[in-house]
Amino acid sequence: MSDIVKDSTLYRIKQIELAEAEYYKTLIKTLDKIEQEVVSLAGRLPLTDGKLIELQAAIAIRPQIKAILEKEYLAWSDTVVRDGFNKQAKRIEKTFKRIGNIPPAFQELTKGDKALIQNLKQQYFTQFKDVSNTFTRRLSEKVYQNTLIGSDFTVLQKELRQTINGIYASSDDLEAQKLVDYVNRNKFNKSKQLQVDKAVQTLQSKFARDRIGENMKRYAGQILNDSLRDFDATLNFNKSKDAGLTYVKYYGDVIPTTRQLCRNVVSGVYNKRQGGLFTIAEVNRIWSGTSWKGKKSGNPLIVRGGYNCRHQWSYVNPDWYNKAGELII
Amino acid sequence: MNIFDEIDAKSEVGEFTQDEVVAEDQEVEQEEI
Repeated sequence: MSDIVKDSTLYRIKQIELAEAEYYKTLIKTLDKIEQEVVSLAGRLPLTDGKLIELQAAIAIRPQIKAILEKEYLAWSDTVVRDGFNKQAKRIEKTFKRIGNIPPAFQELTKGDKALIQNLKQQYFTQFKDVSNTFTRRLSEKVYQNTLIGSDFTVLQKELRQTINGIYASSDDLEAQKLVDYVNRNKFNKSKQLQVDKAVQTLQSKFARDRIGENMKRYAGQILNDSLRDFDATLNFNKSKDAGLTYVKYYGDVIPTTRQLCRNVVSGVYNKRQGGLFTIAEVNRIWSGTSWKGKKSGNPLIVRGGYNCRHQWSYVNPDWYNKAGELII
Repeated sequence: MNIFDEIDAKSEVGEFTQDEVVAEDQEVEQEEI
Protein backbone atom coordinates (compact mmCIF):
# COMPACT_ATOMS: atom_id res chain seq x y z
CA MET A 1 0.00 0.00 0.00
CA SER A 2 1.38 3.39 -0.92
CA ASP A 3 2.26 5.82 1.86
CA ILE A 4 0.46 9.08 1.06
CA VAL A 5 2.36 11.06 3.71
CA LYS A 6 5.67 9.98 2.19
CA ASP A 7 4.47 10.55 -1.39
CA SER A 8 3.15 14.02 -0.50
CA THR A 9 6.37 15.06 1.17
CA LEU A 10 8.54 13.78 -1.66
CA TYR A 11 6.24 15.63 -4.08
CA ARG A 12 6.85 18.90 -2.18
CA ILE A 13 10.61 18.28 -2.10
CA LYS A 14 10.76 17.39 -5.79
CA GLN A 15 8.74 20.40 -6.90
CA ILE A 16 10.97 22.73 -4.87
CA GLU A 17 14.01 21.24 -6.60
CA LEU A 18 12.43 21.71 -10.03
CA ALA A 19 11.43 25.29 -9.20
CA GLU A 20 14.90 26.06 -7.85
CA ALA A 21 16.57 24.73 -11.01
CA GLU A 22 14.22 26.79 -13.18
CA TYR A 23 14.74 30.01 -11.21
CA TYR A 24 18.49 29.39 -11.15
CA LYS A 25 18.48 29.35 -14.95
CA THR A 26 16.73 32.73 -15.04
CA LEU A 27 19.09 34.02 -12.32
CA ILE A 28 22.06 33.17 -14.57
CA LYS A 29 20.47 35.10 -17.45
CA THR A 30 19.63 38.03 -15.16
CA LEU A 31 23.14 38.25 -13.71
CA ASP A 32 24.76 37.89 -17.13
CA LYS A 33 22.62 40.80 -18.32
CA ILE A 34 23.57 42.86 -15.26
CA GLU A 35 27.25 42.02 -15.84
CA GLN A 36 26.96 43.16 -19.44
CA GLU A 37 25.09 46.37 -18.59
CA VAL A 38 27.35 47.34 -15.67
CA VAL A 39 30.53 46.74 -17.71
CA SER A 40 29.06 48.72 -20.62
CA LEU A 41 28.16 51.55 -18.22
CA ALA A 42 31.67 51.57 -16.76
CA GLY A 43 33.01 51.51 -20.33
CA ARG A 44 31.68 55.05 -20.75
CA LEU A 45 33.91 56.39 -17.95
CA PRO A 46 36.56 58.84 -19.18
CA LEU A 47 40.02 57.32 -19.68
CA THR A 48 43.51 58.64 -20.26
CA ASP A 49 45.86 56.14 -21.90
CA GLY A 50 43.42 53.36 -20.95
CA LYS A 51 43.42 54.40 -17.28
CA LEU A 52 40.52 55.61 -15.13
CA ILE A 53 41.02 59.21 -14.05
CA GLU A 54 37.86 61.12 -13.14
CA LEU A 55 36.63 60.67 -9.59
CA GLN A 56 33.53 62.76 -10.18
CA ALA A 57 32.42 60.43 -12.97
CA ALA A 58 33.18 57.43 -10.75
CA ILE A 59 30.87 58.80 -8.04
CA ALA A 60 28.12 59.74 -10.50
CA ILE A 61 27.85 56.16 -11.74
CA ARG A 62 26.35 54.81 -8.50
CA PRO A 63 22.64 55.63 -9.10
CA GLN A 64 22.92 54.03 -12.54
CA ILE A 65 24.39 50.84 -11.09
CA LYS A 66 21.55 50.81 -8.57
CA ALA A 67 19.02 51.27 -11.36
CA ILE A 68 20.45 48.38 -13.39
CA LEU A 69 20.37 46.02 -10.41
CA GLU A 70 16.83 47.02 -9.47
CA LYS A 71 15.49 46.75 -12.99
CA GLU A 72 16.91 43.29 -13.64
CA TYR A 73 17.50 41.59 -10.31
CA LEU A 74 14.56 42.88 -8.26
CA ALA A 75 12.19 41.92 -11.06
CA TRP A 76 13.65 38.40 -10.94
CA SER A 77 13.36 38.32 -7.11
CA ASP A 78 9.73 39.41 -7.36
CA THR A 79 8.99 36.50 -9.70
CA VAL A 80 10.63 33.97 -7.40
CA VAL A 81 8.73 35.21 -4.38
CA ARG A 82 5.39 35.83 -6.09
CA ASP A 83 5.12 32.84 -8.43
CA GLY A 84 7.42 30.46 -6.58
CA PHE A 85 5.75 30.91 -3.21
CA ASN A 86 2.19 30.95 -4.63
CA LYS A 87 2.78 27.67 -6.41
CA GLN A 88 4.36 26.03 -3.38
CA ALA A 89 1.46 27.23 -1.20
CA LYS A 90 -0.93 25.58 -3.64
CA ARG A 91 1.10 22.38 -3.46
CA ILE A 92 0.91 22.37 0.31
CA GLU A 93 -2.85 22.85 0.14
CA LYS A 94 -3.02 20.01 -2.37
CA THR A 95 -1.11 17.63 -0.09
CA PHE A 96 -3.27 18.51 2.92
CA LYS A 97 -6.41 17.77 0.90
CA ARG A 98 -4.93 14.55 -0.42
CA ILE A 99 -3.87 13.26 2.99
CA GLY A 100 -7.19 14.36 4.49
CA ASN A 101 -8.00 13.05 7.98
CA ILE A 102 -8.01 16.55 9.46
CA PRO A 103 -10.99 18.96 9.68
CA PRO A 104 -11.84 20.12 6.11
CA ALA A 105 -11.47 23.79 7.11
CA PHE A 106 -7.75 23.23 7.66
CA GLN A 107 -7.24 21.37 4.40
CA GLU A 108 -7.73 24.64 2.54
CA LEU A 109 -5.57 27.75 2.81
CA THR A 110 -7.18 29.78 5.58
CA LYS A 111 -7.26 33.55 5.96
CA GLY A 112 -4.43 33.22 8.49
CA ASP A 113 -2.40 31.15 5.99
CA LYS A 114 -2.83 33.84 3.34
CA ALA A 115 -1.66 36.54 5.74
CA LEU A 116 1.36 34.38 6.60
CA ILE A 117 2.13 33.84 2.91
CA GLN A 118 2.05 37.58 2.27
CA ASN A 119 4.37 38.22 5.24
CA LEU A 120 6.82 35.55 4.10
CA LYS A 121 6.88 37.02 0.60
CA GLN A 122 7.69 40.43 2.02
CA GLN A 123 10.34 38.98 4.34
CA TYR A 124 12.20 37.03 1.65
CA PHE A 125 11.88 39.79 -0.92
CA THR A 126 13.62 42.04 1.62
CA GLN A 127 16.46 39.51 1.83
CA PHE A 128 16.83 39.54 -1.94
CA LYS A 129 16.70 43.34 -1.87
CA ASP A 130 19.49 43.48 0.73
CA VAL A 131 21.72 41.67 -1.77
CA SER A 132 20.87 44.30 -4.37
CA ASN A 133 21.77 47.13 -1.98
CA THR A 134 24.99 45.43 -0.85
CA PHE A 135 26.17 44.83 -4.39
CA THR A 136 25.22 48.30 -5.59
CA ARG A 137 27.60 49.53 -2.89
CA ARG A 138 30.34 47.01 -3.69
CA LEU A 139 30.26 47.65 -7.42
CA SER A 140 30.29 51.43 -6.86
CA GLU A 141 33.25 51.02 -4.51
CA LYS A 142 35.13 49.03 -7.14
CA VAL A 143 34.66 51.84 -9.64
CA TYR A 144 35.71 54.49 -7.11
CA GLN A 145 38.75 52.63 -5.77
CA ASN A 146 40.05 51.76 -9.22
CA THR A 147 39.63 55.37 -10.35
CA LEU A 148 41.36 56.61 -7.21
CA ILE A 149 44.48 54.59 -8.00
CA GLY A 150 44.21 55.11 -11.76
CA SER A 151 43.80 51.44 -12.73
CA ASP A 152 43.55 50.20 -16.27
CA PHE A 153 39.94 49.86 -17.37
CA THR A 154 40.56 46.13 -17.97
CA VAL A 155 41.31 45.68 -14.25
CA LEU A 156 38.03 47.33 -13.26
CA GLN A 157 36.14 45.36 -15.88
CA LYS A 158 37.41 42.05 -14.47
CA GLU A 159 36.60 43.08 -10.88
CA LEU A 160 33.05 44.16 -11.80
CA ARG A 161 32.41 40.92 -13.65
CA GLN A 162 33.69 38.78 -10.79
CA THR A 163 31.81 40.79 -8.14
CA ILE A 164 28.60 39.91 -9.96
CA ASN A 165 29.25 36.37 -11.13
CA GLY A 166 32.31 35.10 -9.21
CA ILE A 167 34.10 32.31 -11.04
CA TYR A 168 31.22 32.27 -13.50
CA ALA A 169 32.03 35.73 -14.82
CA SER A 170 32.14 36.12 -18.60
CA SER A 171 35.51 35.83 -20.19
CA ASP A 172 37.24 36.30 -23.53
CA ASP A 173 39.04 33.03 -22.89
CA LEU A 174 37.05 30.48 -24.87
CA GLU A 175 38.04 27.53 -22.72
CA ALA A 176 37.08 29.30 -19.47
CA GLN A 177 33.77 30.42 -20.99
CA LYS A 178 33.05 26.86 -22.12
CA LEU A 179 33.55 25.63 -18.55
CA VAL A 180 31.32 28.41 -17.15
CA ASP A 181 28.55 27.49 -19.59
CA TYR A 182 28.92 23.80 -18.73
CA VAL A 183 28.61 24.43 -14.98
CA ASN A 184 25.62 26.75 -15.44
CA ARG A 185 23.87 24.22 -17.65
CA ASN A 186 24.43 21.19 -15.44
CA LYS A 187 24.50 22.50 -11.88
CA PHE A 188 21.24 20.75 -11.03
CA ASN A 189 21.85 17.61 -13.08
CA LYS A 190 22.58 14.96 -10.45
CA SER A 191 24.14 12.57 -12.97
CA LYS A 192 26.75 15.18 -13.93
CA GLN A 193 27.86 16.32 -10.48
CA LEU A 194 31.35 14.84 -10.86
CA GLN A 195 31.94 16.62 -14.18
CA VAL A 196 30.52 19.87 -12.75
CA ASP A 197 32.89 19.66 -9.76
CA LYS A 198 35.80 19.00 -12.11
CA ALA A 199 34.88 22.01 -14.26
CA VAL A 200 34.69 24.20 -11.13
CA GLN A 201 38.10 22.94 -9.97
CA THR A 202 39.60 23.73 -13.38
CA LEU A 203 38.16 27.26 -13.25
CA GLN A 204 39.64 27.69 -9.80
CA SER A 205 43.08 26.29 -10.52
CA LYS A 206 43.83 26.89 -14.19
CA PHE A 207 41.99 30.21 -14.43
CA ALA A 208 42.73 31.31 -10.85
CA ARG A 209 39.11 32.02 -10.03
CA ASP A 210 37.98 32.04 -6.43
CA ARG A 211 34.72 30.25 -5.68
CA ILE A 212 34.67 31.38 -2.06
CA GLY A 213 34.83 35.04 -3.10
CA GLU A 214 31.84 37.12 -2.24
CA ASN A 215 29.79 37.62 -5.35
CA MET A 216 26.20 38.44 -6.12
CA LYS A 217 25.46 35.10 -7.71
CA ARG A 218 26.49 33.20 -4.61
CA TYR A 219 24.28 35.27 -2.30
CA ALA A 220 21.27 35.37 -4.58
CA GLY A 221 21.61 31.61 -5.21
CA GLN A 222 21.75 30.92 -1.49
CA ILE A 223 18.61 32.95 -0.77
CA LEU A 224 16.85 31.29 -3.70
CA ASN A 225 17.74 27.88 -2.30
CA ASP A 226 16.77 28.60 1.28
CA SER A 227 13.74 30.83 0.68
CA LEU A 228 11.76 28.24 -1.27
CA ARG A 229 12.47 25.54 1.31
CA ASP A 230 11.99 27.70 4.39
CA PHE A 231 8.72 29.03 2.96
CA ASP A 232 7.47 25.46 2.45
CA ALA A 233 8.55 24.50 5.97
CA THR A 234 7.00 27.56 7.62
CA LEU A 235 3.63 27.31 5.92
CA ASN A 236 3.50 23.58 6.57
CA PHE A 237 4.41 24.13 10.22
CA ASN A 238 1.65 26.69 10.71
CA LYS A 239 -1.04 24.74 8.89
CA SER A 240 -0.22 21.61 10.83
CA LYS A 241 -0.28 23.44 14.13
CA ASP A 242 -3.74 24.81 13.29
CA ALA A 243 -4.88 21.32 12.31
CA GLY A 244 -3.64 19.87 15.61
CA LEU A 245 -0.95 17.63 14.11
CA THR A 246 1.80 17.38 16.70
CA TYR A 247 3.96 14.51 15.47
CA VAL A 248 6.49 14.78 12.67
CA LYS A 249 8.39 12.60 10.26
CA TYR A 250 11.56 13.57 8.37
CA TYR A 251 11.93 12.95 4.65
CA GLY A 252 14.45 13.39 1.87
CA ASP A 253 17.28 11.67 0.04
CA VAL A 254 20.54 10.63 1.61
CA ILE A 255 23.34 11.64 -0.74
CA PRO A 256 27.13 11.91 -0.18
CA THR A 257 26.82 15.53 1.01
CA THR A 258 23.93 14.84 3.41
CA ARG A 259 24.80 16.06 6.92
CA GLN A 260 25.24 13.40 9.58
CA LEU A 261 22.29 14.71 11.59
CA CYS A 262 19.88 14.54 8.64
CA ARG A 263 21.27 11.13 7.72
CA ASN A 264 20.68 9.89 11.29
CA VAL A 265 17.13 11.20 11.51
CA VAL A 266 16.12 9.86 8.09
CA SER A 267 17.73 6.47 8.66
CA GLY A 268 16.18 5.95 12.10
CA VAL A 269 19.20 6.33 14.40
CA TYR A 270 17.24 8.65 16.72
CA ASN A 271 13.93 6.81 16.44
CA LYS A 272 11.74 6.97 19.56
CA ARG A 273 8.97 4.81 18.15
CA GLN A 274 8.15 2.65 15.14
CA GLY A 275 7.85 4.48 11.83
CA GLY A 276 10.23 7.33 12.67
CA LEU A 277 7.63 9.55 14.31
CA PHE A 278 8.86 12.29 16.65
CA THR A 279 7.10 14.77 18.86
CA ILE A 280 8.08 18.40 18.34
CA ALA A 281 9.69 18.45 21.81
CA GLU A 282 11.84 15.44 20.84
CA VAL A 283 13.01 17.20 17.67
CA ASN A 284 13.88 20.33 19.65
CA ARG A 285 15.96 18.21 22.05
CA ILE A 286 17.87 16.45 19.26
CA TRP A 287 18.61 19.74 17.48
CA SER A 288 19.65 21.68 20.59
CA GLY A 289 21.94 18.88 21.75
CA THR A 290 23.85 18.63 18.48
CA SER A 291 25.95 21.03 16.47
CA TRP A 292 27.19 20.72 12.93
CA LYS A 293 28.58 22.73 10.05
CA GLY A 294 25.95 24.84 8.31
CA LYS A 295 23.49 24.66 11.22
CA LYS A 296 21.05 27.57 11.21
CA SER A 297 19.64 29.07 14.36
CA GLY A 298 15.88 28.96 14.70
CA ASN A 299 13.05 26.46 14.90
CA PRO A 300 14.39 23.04 13.72
CA LEU A 301 11.07 22.35 12.04
CA ILE A 302 11.71 25.32 9.80
CA VAL A 303 15.48 25.53 9.44
CA ARG A 304 15.94 21.72 9.38
CA GLY A 305 19.57 20.72 8.65
CA GLY A 306 20.52 24.34 7.89
CA TYR A 307 21.95 25.95 4.76
CA ASN A 308 21.23 24.01 1.57
CA CYS A 309 19.31 21.32 3.48
CA ARG A 310 16.94 19.55 1.11
CA HIS A 311 15.00 17.60 3.74
CA GLN A 312 11.51 18.45 4.95
CA TRP A 313 9.23 17.50 7.81
CA SER A 314 5.72 16.20 7.44
CA TYR A 315 3.16 16.47 10.22
CA VAL A 316 1.12 13.47 11.20
CA ASN A 317 -1.25 12.01 13.76
CA PRO A 318 0.14 8.88 15.50
CA ASP A 319 -3.33 7.30 15.12
CA TRP A 320 -2.63 7.12 11.38
CA TYR A 321 -0.01 4.42 12.05
CA ASN A 322 -0.23 0.84 13.30
CA LYS A 323 2.09 -0.66 15.92
CA ALA A 324 4.62 -1.60 13.25
CA GLY A 325 4.80 2.06 12.23
CA GLU A 326 2.95 1.53 8.96
CA LEU A 327 0.54 4.13 7.69
CA ILE A 328 -3.02 2.82 7.81
CA ILE A 329 -5.04 5.73 6.42
CA MET B 1 11.83 55.66 -21.67
CA ASN B 2 14.97 55.86 -19.53
CA ILE B 3 15.96 53.32 -16.95
CA PHE B 4 14.46 55.26 -14.01
CA ASP B 5 11.10 55.60 -15.75
CA GLU B 6 11.11 51.85 -16.33
CA ILE B 7 11.58 51.23 -12.61
CA ASP B 8 8.88 53.72 -11.64
CA ALA B 9 6.52 52.03 -14.05
CA LYS B 10 6.99 48.78 -12.14
CA SER B 11 5.77 50.02 -8.76
CA GLU B 12 4.17 46.67 -8.03
CA VAL B 13 7.56 44.96 -7.70
CA GLY B 14 7.91 43.75 -4.13
CA GLU B 15 4.30 44.60 -3.24
CA PHE B 16 2.37 41.49 -2.29
CA THR B 17 -1.27 40.97 -1.38
CA GLN B 18 -3.19 38.17 0.28
CA ASP B 19 -5.35 37.63 -2.80
CA GLU B 20 -2.63 36.43 -5.18
CA VAL B 21 -2.41 32.93 -3.80
CA VAL B 22 -6.11 32.22 -4.34
CA ALA B 23 -5.83 32.28 -8.12
CA GLU B 24 -6.24 28.89 -9.79
CA ASP B 25 -2.97 27.41 -10.88
CA GLN B 26 -3.42 24.93 -13.70
CA GLU B 27 0.23 23.93 -13.54
CA VAL B 28 0.00 22.81 -9.91
CA GLU B 29 -3.42 21.22 -10.52
CA GLN B 30 -1.87 18.98 -13.14
CA GLU B 31 1.13 17.89 -11.08
CA GLU B 32 0.93 14.38 -9.69
CA ILE B 33 1.65 13.52 -6.09
